Amino acid sequence: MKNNKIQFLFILFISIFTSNVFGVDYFWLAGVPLEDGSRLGGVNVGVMSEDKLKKLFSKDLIVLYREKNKHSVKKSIRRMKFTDEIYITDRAGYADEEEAGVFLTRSLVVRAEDEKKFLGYIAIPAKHKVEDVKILN
Amino acid sequence: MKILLKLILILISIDSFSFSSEFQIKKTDNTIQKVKLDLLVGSICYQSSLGDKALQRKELIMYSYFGGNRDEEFYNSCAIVEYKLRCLGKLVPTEGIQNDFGPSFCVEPMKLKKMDTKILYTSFIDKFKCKKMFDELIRSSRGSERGSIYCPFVKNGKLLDQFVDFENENKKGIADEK
Repeated sequence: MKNNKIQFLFILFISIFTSNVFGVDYFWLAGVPLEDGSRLGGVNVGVMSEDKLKKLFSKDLIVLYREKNKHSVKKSIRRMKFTDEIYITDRAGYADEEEAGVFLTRSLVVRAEDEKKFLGYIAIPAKHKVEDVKILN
Repeated sequence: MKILLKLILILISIDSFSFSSEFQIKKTDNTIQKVKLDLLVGSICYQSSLGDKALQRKELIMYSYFGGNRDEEFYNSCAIVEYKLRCLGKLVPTEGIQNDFGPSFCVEPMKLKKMDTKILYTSFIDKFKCKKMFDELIRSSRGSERGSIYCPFVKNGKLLDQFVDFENENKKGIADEK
């Protein structure tokens, strides 16, 4: 009887934990290269539906990023904002040794206070609270 | 001597192909916008629907994806273009020969003349639709048995700049000569 209770509690904890973990939308950063050589900050939204995308427009997001100095790697969190601008970057590449193809990256543009220092690697909507970032490698 | 002269004429012809073209694309508000796009990928195939006739006429077809405009206003524009080409060299069965074109392709010299240009699709906003169409055209032009028709790919103009289109060099329009 006691074992069953422990088992039940254990399963309950796992369920709560996984629902939190898998409920987080996260985005890889994907800059948008422009004609003049500059880049707009953006996140890769793949083939996400228009309706889902619209829910992100003008919302805050948290970008996790790190800056490499000569002697150290500094980790940090930064608050930014989604815009409503979507750009699809196309490039030619090889799918295998023989076949060339077109590869597309759909990005939702993100505005940072200081555009030049947009050096993040992953972003999550600001509705999730991030207290600390640890670099594991 | 005649053959030599013909060969010289082919080889001294303009040896480059323009990879940028201007398209007139309809925007969502129904206004027409001129957009400059680059050829990113093309695929040259025999027209499988014509079978042996295509081989006899030395006809080939190139489906191409145009895009790559990095101006914010035109960023999501794209176009799919079909070129009908004719081999100016010989069609040589290349089976067993150590080269990139098999089982049969235009060689000696590998020069193609543009016969016709058809814009199949343009979009101001939907590159995914362009890509889908391009992939489907390549699949269908290759026929059911993959590899039975060889279709070399052209990436960012690589390979295509070996081709010549001297009869059309003075004409303006898509893929005209530099």
